Amino acid sequence: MKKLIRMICLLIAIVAVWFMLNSILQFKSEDGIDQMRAFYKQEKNTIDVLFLGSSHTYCNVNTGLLWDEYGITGFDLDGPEQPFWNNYYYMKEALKYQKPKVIVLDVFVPGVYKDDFQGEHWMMYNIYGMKWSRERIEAQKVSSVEGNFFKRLIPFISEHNRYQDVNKEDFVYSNHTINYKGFDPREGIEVLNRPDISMIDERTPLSNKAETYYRKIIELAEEENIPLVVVNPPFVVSEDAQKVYNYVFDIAIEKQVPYLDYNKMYDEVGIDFNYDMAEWSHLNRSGNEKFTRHLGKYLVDHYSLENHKGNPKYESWNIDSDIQKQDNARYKLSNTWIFNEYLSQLKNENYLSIITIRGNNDLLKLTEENKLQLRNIGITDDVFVNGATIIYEYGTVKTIDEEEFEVYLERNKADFVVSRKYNEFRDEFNTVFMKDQECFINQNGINIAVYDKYLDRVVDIVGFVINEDMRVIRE
Amino acid sequence: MQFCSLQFLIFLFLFLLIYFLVPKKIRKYWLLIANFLFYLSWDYKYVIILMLIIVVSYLTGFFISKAQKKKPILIAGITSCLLILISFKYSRMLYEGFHEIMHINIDVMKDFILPIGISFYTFMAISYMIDVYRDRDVCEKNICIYMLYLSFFPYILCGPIERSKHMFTQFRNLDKEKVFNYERITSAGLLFVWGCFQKLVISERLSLLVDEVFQNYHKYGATAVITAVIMYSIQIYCDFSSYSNIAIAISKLIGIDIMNNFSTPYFSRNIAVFWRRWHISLSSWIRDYLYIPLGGNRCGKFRKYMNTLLVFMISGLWHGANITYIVWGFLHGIYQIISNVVRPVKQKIEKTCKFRIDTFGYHLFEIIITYLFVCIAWLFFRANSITQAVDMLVRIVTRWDPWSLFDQSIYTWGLDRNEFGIAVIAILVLLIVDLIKYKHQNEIISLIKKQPILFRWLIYIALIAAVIVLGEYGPDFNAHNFIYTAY
Repeated sequence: MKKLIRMICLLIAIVAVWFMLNSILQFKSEDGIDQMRAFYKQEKNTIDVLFLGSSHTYCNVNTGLLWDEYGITGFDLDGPEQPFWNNYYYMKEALKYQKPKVIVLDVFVPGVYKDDFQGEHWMMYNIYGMKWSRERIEAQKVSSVEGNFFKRLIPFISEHNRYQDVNKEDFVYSNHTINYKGFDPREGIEVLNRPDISMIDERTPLSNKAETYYRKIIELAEEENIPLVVVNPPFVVSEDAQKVYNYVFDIAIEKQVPYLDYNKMYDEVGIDFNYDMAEWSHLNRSGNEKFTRHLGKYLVDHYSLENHKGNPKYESWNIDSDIQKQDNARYKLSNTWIFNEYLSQLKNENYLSIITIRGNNDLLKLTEENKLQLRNIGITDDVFVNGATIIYEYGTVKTIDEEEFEVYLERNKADFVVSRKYNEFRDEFNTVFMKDQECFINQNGINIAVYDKYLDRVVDIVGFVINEDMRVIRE
Repeated sequence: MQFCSLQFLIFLFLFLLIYFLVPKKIRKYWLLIANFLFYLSWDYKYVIILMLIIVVSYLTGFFISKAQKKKPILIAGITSCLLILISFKYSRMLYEGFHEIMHINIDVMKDFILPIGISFYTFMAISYMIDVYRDRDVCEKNICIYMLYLSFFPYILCGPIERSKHMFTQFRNLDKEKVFNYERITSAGLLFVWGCFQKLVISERLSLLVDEVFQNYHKYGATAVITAVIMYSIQIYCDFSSYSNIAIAISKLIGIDIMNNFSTPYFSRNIAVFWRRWHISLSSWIRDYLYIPLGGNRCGKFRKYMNTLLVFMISGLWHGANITYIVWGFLHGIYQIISNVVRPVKQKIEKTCKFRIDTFGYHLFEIIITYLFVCIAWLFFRANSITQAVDMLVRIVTRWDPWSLFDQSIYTWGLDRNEFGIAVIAILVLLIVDLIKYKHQNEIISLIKKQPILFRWLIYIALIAAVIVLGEYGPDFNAHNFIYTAY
């Protein structure tokens, strides 16, 4: 008996170690997996609008903005290039936990990706986030080429190879929480030609498999008595793709499902192809705000969606919104190239900025506006001319003008080291370490490293070369 | 169904579950069914050939036990088995030979099949027939027990080449084994995981480097070739001994002991000892059923050397229908002969120069020299042709480039820096385990079991974690069969 107990204890220890290894090595990605894992963390029946689809949903539908402007509790439950069959099983799985007031289905995928089987990489990302259930097994079955069902059934067999890529994120991962609502915006701007598909009337049918699951989604929504809206978010749509979408919308009409073809609504939404696209397929931050605002208004106007703002039950949407805002600020800061604008953004209450002024900087190169902004963050003309290191943190300024120094700080259990040393040849060595990251651009002028306490990450490292007309150097 | 695969783990789990659930008397029948299911998972045609060998050898044994004139029956039985072996295993070589010399195209011989494990179970069948010839009491009348002996799934693919006497008794007593035996299960579990570690962490990883250098040896200098040969010596050792360990472990789970096939072979101080430690079941088979009947040590020196050369070449041929295996066997035969010839001279030099031969330093020197010779033979064994092996040997001498050990190019030979690091650490673990086995006469498991429980558990868990995380398996890895399943 004693030996049997001992063996059971050993087995429990082995299983515990396996769970630990599994949690470290499992795929973590905002492309599908995180969305599903975070979905399970949501409180039951709190999601009013469930967004299903592909990256066109999780990159374009800003859940933070929907909350801010309309008090909508939305969730982007989707995956990369996710086909209808995965949408269907995501929906079935989701309805076990939530009773949304409306479901929005993005139909981008079948117009562009017509294969009946996804590549294995994305296939894993569209399934591995799900808990073990009948839905997951069926999703795996329908997604696997014949004979390949077992090949990717157990995630660890594919995931164990990640041991070479393990990093801190694998131990402390923030996306699998109630606060994550699935939104993962694309950044950057690509100037693109605005497509014109207004004259495309032809139809290209969906594959049998895609159509079957598309209809199944519509039927499931009907059975569950949940209104469904079919949406195709704006992108650089081709004529061929639009022919497929026409067919998709025909089915929506046939089934009396409302649809929004945003590729015919650029002006109404205000999409500017010189400014709002990250690349041909996804909107950038500016674009997704316009799109989300329009979609949110449509949903509020057409469905009885309660504004949950102020209700503590929905606090996690507040946090999601704050994260989005702070992330937006990070994006804005790291894309600001004008000195004054940059300095004004350092006043963000979540920022800790380490500003190092080095070299012989000419005061005459500064405009009065520059000087004013510098003074606002505690840098006087004297400090500017003589050089110093300034630790600026929302209203508090610590100026260090000693020749040699070493300062240690701690925020969010992360260490910060700022120092200046000279060797026997009078060579100057500046160090700015933030969260184990070297954050110093060794440049004459003003070097700034910014850490965001809310996002718990270094958000920008930049150098302004004063004597060269404020030339900007970024890593 | 490979041993280190998910399918096999599921098969094994179900097999054991049913095995321990069914009434004890039915166990042997369930085991027999499992054996055939396992072999069927490869190809149904293989089962037909296995059955053929079973029937021929069983009937031969039966008739020998009854007959007055045993010899003709034995010869007929052995010849039949050998013919089956030759026609399936060496038909390709024969066909290619015909094709080459006679320019004859024999279409029917194009679709060769090579039943996996055929060399192993044919040799077991032959040993059974000879054993019955030598002692009628060995004859097994119960066909079920006899079928279990030849088809036992833990060893059917890669051995060990077990002896009938040893196995019959155990199969007969299957219904007497206890269902749960903690000691047996933990020992078997540890051995199983160690086997998986050898195969998945070491052997499969090293195969990436070995395959790269052997396939593209024209691109590489001496250092890469030497590294590849050394790595191959470790790869084949881990690959084969891992199979044996897993086979022993699985058998242990149902209370059956099968022989150990390896005993730290690379710590051998001469070639003769190497062959007492490497693939023990084959070398002892060759000794008992070939070398001794040929005259062994009892005939004149010349005859003895010729016998040695012959049995090693047959041993090479047993591995496959390729001239490289025959050369490998020939080299080992030559090593043995030279070793015998120079032994008196060596002893005289040792005595004259007053070498301290019972010292660690001298033993280490002998081990290294033996290992080097074994490695040279492995080069021929692994190469696709004699030309390739010779080319690679020439490169070792003419393309001397020790700097590639230091200029990072070592990480371009199939294993990147991390993988290479893991391989080196895993080899060190193997070395430590083998050193302990060497010191404690293979009693490493009982040694581990004497350790405090936490330390023991730490070993189990660390080993399992290493296998499941660092093992080279899964759909993104092009897994190799166990090397010896091809023989």
